[in-house]
Amino acid sequence: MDAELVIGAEGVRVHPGGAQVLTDLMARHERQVFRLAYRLTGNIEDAKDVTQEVFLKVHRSLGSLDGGRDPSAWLYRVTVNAVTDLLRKRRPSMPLPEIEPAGSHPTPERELLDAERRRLALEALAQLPLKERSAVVLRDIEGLSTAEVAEVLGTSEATVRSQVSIARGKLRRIIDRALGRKV
Amino acid sequence: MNDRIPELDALAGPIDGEDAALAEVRGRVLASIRRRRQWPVWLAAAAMVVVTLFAGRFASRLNAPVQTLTYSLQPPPAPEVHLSAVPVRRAVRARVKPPVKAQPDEQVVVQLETDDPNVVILWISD
Repeated sequence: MDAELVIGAEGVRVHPGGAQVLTDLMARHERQVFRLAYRLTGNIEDAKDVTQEVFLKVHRSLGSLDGGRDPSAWLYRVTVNAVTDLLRKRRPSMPLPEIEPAGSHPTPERELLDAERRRLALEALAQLPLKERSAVVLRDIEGLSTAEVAEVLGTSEATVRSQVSIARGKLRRIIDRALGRKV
Repeated sequence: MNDRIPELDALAGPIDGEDAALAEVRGRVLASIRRRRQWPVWLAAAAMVVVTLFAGRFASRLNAPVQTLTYSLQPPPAPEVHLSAVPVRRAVRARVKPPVKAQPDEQVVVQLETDDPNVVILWISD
């Protein structure tokens, strides 16, 4: 927890279990949690559910948070775990999305092109195992170092390097195939 | 092969509808916390209702009409006493003190008392 998070708006020390602390934490970190959840789940509704679950867990854990440490790494880890739980529950009824072939959505404008690229990236990510997906998202999109990713995922740096490398290779093949490039 | 995937950069920016989604999430989280805080209140209220019901039931038992049992205690009949007039006679007896064993060289005195306190018979032996 950030050190100043226990100071309320009036400069009064807030009880660690108070809603004010949670509100401050959400204000600072909700976008980080929501975006990671979206990149890992691939859709807004699941990202909202995951974000809600993460901050409810934060509220339950307020008393045990270390006030001197940045909670970002912990929040990343809680988010990845929440996504894992969500996908595990939904696995039987949630098939992976199919990537549509290139050219099915002609998008001449820049905005539509960006949207198409986002859709393509999300669908490619969805085809990766969650561990590889988490490693490559944290490393290449969130911008964490290999050591930080290893801490978030609770694994070694060597494992993270391996997972990221494999994930990149798979993503490249998936995207090339979707774009009609020769693999 | 291990270079970054440029297509992933498309995911780096903000997400469409992010602000609205986060506002919704914020509301859901705070509402959920509020609900969790309220459950002890509801539990206490439910406990109060249960206690009140039990107390009411107990009180109704206390206020129920009590069947009174009356017992009449009659003293037993007094025994019949037949008194007959009997003349009382005062028997004249001499009170005789046991003789004291005579010691040698000691004078023995026997005192006889009669019904009349003014009359005492003394018998002295040597």
